Amino acid sequence: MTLLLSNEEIEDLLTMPESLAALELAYKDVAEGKAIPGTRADSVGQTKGETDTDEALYQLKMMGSIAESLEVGAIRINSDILTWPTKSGTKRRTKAPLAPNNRWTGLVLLFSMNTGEPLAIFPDGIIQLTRVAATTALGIKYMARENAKTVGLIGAGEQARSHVIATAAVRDVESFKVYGPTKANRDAFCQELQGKTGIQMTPVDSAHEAVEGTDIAICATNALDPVLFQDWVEPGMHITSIQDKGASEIEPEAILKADVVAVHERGNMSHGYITKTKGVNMPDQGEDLTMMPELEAVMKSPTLAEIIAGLAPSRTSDDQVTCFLNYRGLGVQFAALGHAVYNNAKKQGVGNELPTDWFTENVCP
Amino acid sequence: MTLVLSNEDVEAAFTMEDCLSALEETYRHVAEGQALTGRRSDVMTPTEPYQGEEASYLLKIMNGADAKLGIAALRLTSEIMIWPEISGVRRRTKAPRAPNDRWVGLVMLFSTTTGEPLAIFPDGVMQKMRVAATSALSAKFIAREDAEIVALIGAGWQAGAHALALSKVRALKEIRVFSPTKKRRETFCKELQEEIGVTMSPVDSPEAAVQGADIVQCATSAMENVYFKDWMQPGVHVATIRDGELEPAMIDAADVLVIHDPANMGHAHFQAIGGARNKDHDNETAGREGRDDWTSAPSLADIISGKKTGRENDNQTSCFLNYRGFGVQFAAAGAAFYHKAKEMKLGHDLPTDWFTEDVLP
Repeated sequence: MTLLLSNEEIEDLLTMPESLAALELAYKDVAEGKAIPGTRADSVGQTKGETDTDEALYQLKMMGSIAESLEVGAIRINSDILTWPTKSGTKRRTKAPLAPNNRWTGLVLLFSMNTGEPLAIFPDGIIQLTRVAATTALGIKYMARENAKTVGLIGAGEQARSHVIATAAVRDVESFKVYGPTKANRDAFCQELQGKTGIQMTPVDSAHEAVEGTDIAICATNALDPVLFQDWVEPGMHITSIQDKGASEIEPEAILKADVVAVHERGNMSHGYITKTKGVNMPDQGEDLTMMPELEAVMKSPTLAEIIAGLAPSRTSDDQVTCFLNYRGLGVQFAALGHAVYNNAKKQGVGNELPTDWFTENVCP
Repeated sequence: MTLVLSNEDVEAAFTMEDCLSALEETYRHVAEGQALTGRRSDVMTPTEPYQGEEASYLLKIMNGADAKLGIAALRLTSEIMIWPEISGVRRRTKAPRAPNDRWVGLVMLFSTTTGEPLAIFPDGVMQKMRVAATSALSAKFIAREDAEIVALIGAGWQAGAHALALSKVRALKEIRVFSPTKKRRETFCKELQEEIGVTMSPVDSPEAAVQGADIVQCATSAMENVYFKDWMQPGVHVATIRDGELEPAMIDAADVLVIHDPANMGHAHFQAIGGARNKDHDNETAGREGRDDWTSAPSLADIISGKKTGRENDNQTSCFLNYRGFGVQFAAAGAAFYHKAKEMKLGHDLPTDWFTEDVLP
C-alpha cells in the first residue's frame, strides 16, 4: 500500500529535534558520497491564472535525491502560481493559492530503493518550513560560538517562526530580538513565541536594532532586497540567510566580512536551474552571487555537509565571524525528513492507504 | 478532482494519431519559445542484485510545460536497472520489483493556470508512443516524400510502436524487420502486419533489412552499434532511439543531421553514488571529445516549425538522433490524453485536496 499523509498528520509526526537529527545524518552521508544532494530544476512560463497583481508566472519545480543509508529516493514537486505583490513598500515573492478550495500544490513522493515502489505521497508544506529552519539551525550548531545566547531575527513570518524553534533546539538562547516590517505582526509574533518557548522575545523597530549586539543574526524573510548590511556585522557573530531571490538577504560586502563561510551546495548557488519560456521576466531574478567577481572565492567555500562531517574547518575562535548561506532546497532534505515522517506514520498507524498498483504498472516504462 | 488513470485508459483513449498531432503542435510551441523542457535529473545508486544480476536503482525526473496548452507535466521513473546478456548481446532492462512484480513510472499533469494536479497516470504506454511518434515526426519532416520501404532493426515493444507510428506518416509498402532471434522477429511481423495493414517481412540479417530501404529505424535495447556508415545508401533517412545504436562515423557522414534537443545531448543531468554505473553510457558518443559539433545541429522543433531546413533533395542522406526523454513531450501527449479521458469519463476521481495543501510551501 502507498501511504497518503496530510500536513496536519505530519505536524504531529515530526518534531524539531528529530528533524535536526535526520538532516544531520543526511548531510554526513552527502559529504561521504552516500547520498545525492539532489539539485533543482524549475520550468517557468506564462500563466492564465488571475491574481491581485499584474505579475504572475507558473512554475513547475522539482528536485530528486537518493539516501542510501535510508534506502529511499525522494522527489519534491511544486506547481506554483508565483506573484510579486508590494507590501509595506517592498516587493515580495509569494505564491497564489489558485488550486481548488484556495490551496497550493506541493508534494513529496517517497520511493523504496530496493523495489522502486512509491511508499508515500504527502504535501510538502510542514516539511518545507521545518527543513529550512532545521538547516539554518545546523549551521548555527556547527558554526556559531558555543556560548551564543542572543539572537537577532529579521523576519516575522512562518519561516521566522520555525527558525525560533529550531535555533532554540541547538543553543541555550536567552533572548530573541525580532524585526518585521509590520508592527502588529512582530508584536503578535513575539507574544506567541515567548509563550510557546519561554524565551524572552522582544519586538524591535528596525532590522539593525534586531541584530545589534547579538551572537547570531538570522535573516528569514521573503524580501527581494538585502536586509543585513556589512556595518552591522560584529566580531564573533554568526550570520545566516535563507534566500537570495532578488538579491542575497545578506549584502555581498557583509558576506565578505566573514572569516568562515559555508554554502548549502556549491553546484546549486546560481540561478541556472531555471528554464523559462520566451519573453518571461522574473522580477526577482537579478544578478546571483556566482555572477559577482568579488565573491568568486566565497562561492568555493565548504558546504554545510562538509562542515558537519568534519571534512572542512569551521570556526576556530570566538572572535571570528561565520556565515552560512542556506540557499535553495536540496532533494536530500526531503528524503531525510520524508523518511522520518514515513517511519513514524507506519509505527503509529497514521494516514490513509491507497493501492500501490494505482501508482505502478505492468508495462515496462 | 484529480484523475487517476491507467495504462489501459491510455490505450483506450489515446491513439498514435493523437500522439503525433499533439507532439507536432507542441514542437511548434517549443520553437516559438512558448513550451519548454526543464533540466532533467537522474540519480543512481547500487541496490540489491536482481536474479544474480548486478543492479542499480535509478530515480529519474523530467518536466516540461506548454504555456499555450496551459499544462505542465512531470514524469518520473523509480526503477531497478539491470544489464543482462541475452543471445550474446548485453541489453538494458528494468526489473519489476515493486509489489505484484510491477514497474514504477508516473506522469503527473498540472494546470499552469491554478497549479493544481489534474491527473496522475503510469507512463508505460505513453512512453513507448511518444518515443515512436517522435521518430515518426522526423520521418514525416525529413525523409523523402516517396519513402515506402522501412528497415526496422529491433523487434521489441519499442520497435512495434515505431512500425505503427511510421505507417501513419508515409504510405508504406513494406517494413523489413531484423532482430537476433528468428522466432521473435517472425511472431512480431505476423502480429503487427494485421494490426497496421502493411507488409511486414522478417529478414535474416540487418544488411538484408537495410538494402534498398528508404527509412532505417533502429529501435533496439542493444548496447552496441547496429547500423554502420558502409550500409548507407543515397536518399536514406536513418533514425535512432538510443545513443550507441549508430556508428559515430555514420552520423558524421549524414548530409542532414537533426537532433532532438541541443540541451539534452550529454549526461550533465546524471549523478551516481557508491560506485553505481550507468552501463547505458558505455558506448555513447554524444558530448564526447570531437563530437560536440552534433549539439549544434538543428533540433526537431527547428525543422517542424520551418525555422531550419531539413532535406533539400532526394539524394541526400538524413539522420535523426532521438535521444533522451524530453519533459515537454509528456505535457503535450498528457494534455491530449487528459482531455480525451475526461470526455470518455475514464479513470478514478480522487479529491484534489489530497494532493494540495493549505500551508504555503
